[in-house]
Amino acid sequence: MKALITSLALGLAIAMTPAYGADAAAKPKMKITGKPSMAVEGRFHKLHKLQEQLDCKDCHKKVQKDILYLRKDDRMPPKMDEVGQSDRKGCLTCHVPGYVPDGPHSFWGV
Amino acid sequence: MAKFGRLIDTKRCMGCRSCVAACAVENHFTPDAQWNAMIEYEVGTYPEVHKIYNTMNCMHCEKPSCKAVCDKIGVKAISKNEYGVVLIDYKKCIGCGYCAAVCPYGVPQMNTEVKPLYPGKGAQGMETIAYADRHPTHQKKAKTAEKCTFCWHKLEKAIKDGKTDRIGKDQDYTPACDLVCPTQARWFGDLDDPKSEIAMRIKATNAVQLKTQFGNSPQVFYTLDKGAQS
Repeated sequence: MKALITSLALGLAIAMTPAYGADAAAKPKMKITGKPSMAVEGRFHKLHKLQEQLDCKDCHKKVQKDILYLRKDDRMPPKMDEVGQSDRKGCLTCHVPGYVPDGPHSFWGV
Repeated sequence: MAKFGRLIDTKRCMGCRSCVAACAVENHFTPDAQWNAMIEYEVGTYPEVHKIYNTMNCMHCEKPSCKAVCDKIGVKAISKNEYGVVLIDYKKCIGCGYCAAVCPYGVPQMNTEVKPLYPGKGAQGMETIAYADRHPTHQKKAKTAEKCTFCWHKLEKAIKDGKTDRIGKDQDYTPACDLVCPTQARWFGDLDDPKSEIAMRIKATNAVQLKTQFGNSPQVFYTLDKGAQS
C-alpha cells in the first residue's frame, strides 16, 4: 500500500513538472536595461509590462480608495483612483512580505 | 541604543494641522514634497457619524521597502541608522521615484522644484539660513526624493549633546510636529525602553501599526479611534 501511494505521488509530481515548465517558459526572458525610471517608457514600467506581462489596468485600475496614504496635496476626500496612482495592495500579489535574498520579488519588507 | 518612534492618538487629534504647519516651517516646506499630511475621513452611519483625523508622515519602518529597492538598483541613497531613523541622501538620489512607488504609505515625495514657503515674499524663518550652512537633510535639491526625517537635525543634536534622555521632552531635541500638538495627541521617544512614556502609552492604549500586511514593521504607532482604519 505504502509503495502504491509513493509511486502515485511520484507519478503525479512527474506529470506536473512540464506544466510548471511551460508556464515559466511562457514569460519571455528579456534583459531590461536602462536607468531606473518611473516614466511610462522607463525601466520600471518596461519590467512590469514587458517582462512580467502585466496590463496597465492590472495596477492602474479604479479601486476602493486607500485612505491611509500620504498625498502631495491635502485634499478632502483623497482620490486614490487618479491617473498615476495605483493601489499598493495589488503589488503584494507578487511582492510577498518577507525576505528572499536576491529574489526577484524580494523588496517588500526586506 | 535607542530606537526612536512616534505614537499618534487619533482619539485625541482634532485635525488642527498644527503638526503639518510646524513641519513645513521647521523643514523648509516645498509644495511638491509634503513631509507631513493630515488625512481626514468620516466613519459610522447617520446619525452616529464622526470624523477620524490621521496624520501621515514617514513610518521609519524597521524593514523599509524604500531602502530595499534603492539598494537593489545600486543607488543606495537611503539609509537606516542605528537609532532607527530612515534618511535619504540627496546627493546620491537619482530621482528615479522607485522609493515612492514601493512605499505602502505614500511617504517619499518627488521634489520637482525647490520653492519658498511664501512665494514672492523672499526667504522666511529657516529659509534665511544659507544653503551650505543648512543641515544635510535641509539641503534640498530639485528632482530628488525627500520625506520626514523624524527631525533628525534635532535628534542628532541631542546625541551630540549627550541629552538623548531629553528627546521627546525638550524643544531643541524633539521633532517639531510633536512639540506643537495642542491636544497631546503625539508622543515621541525610545520604543526600546519599556519605561519610556511612549512605550508605556503604546501598551496602555493598545496602539497599532498601520498596514501590517506589507510587513514593513513601522516605528510609528496609532491609537485608533472607533471605526478608524488600520
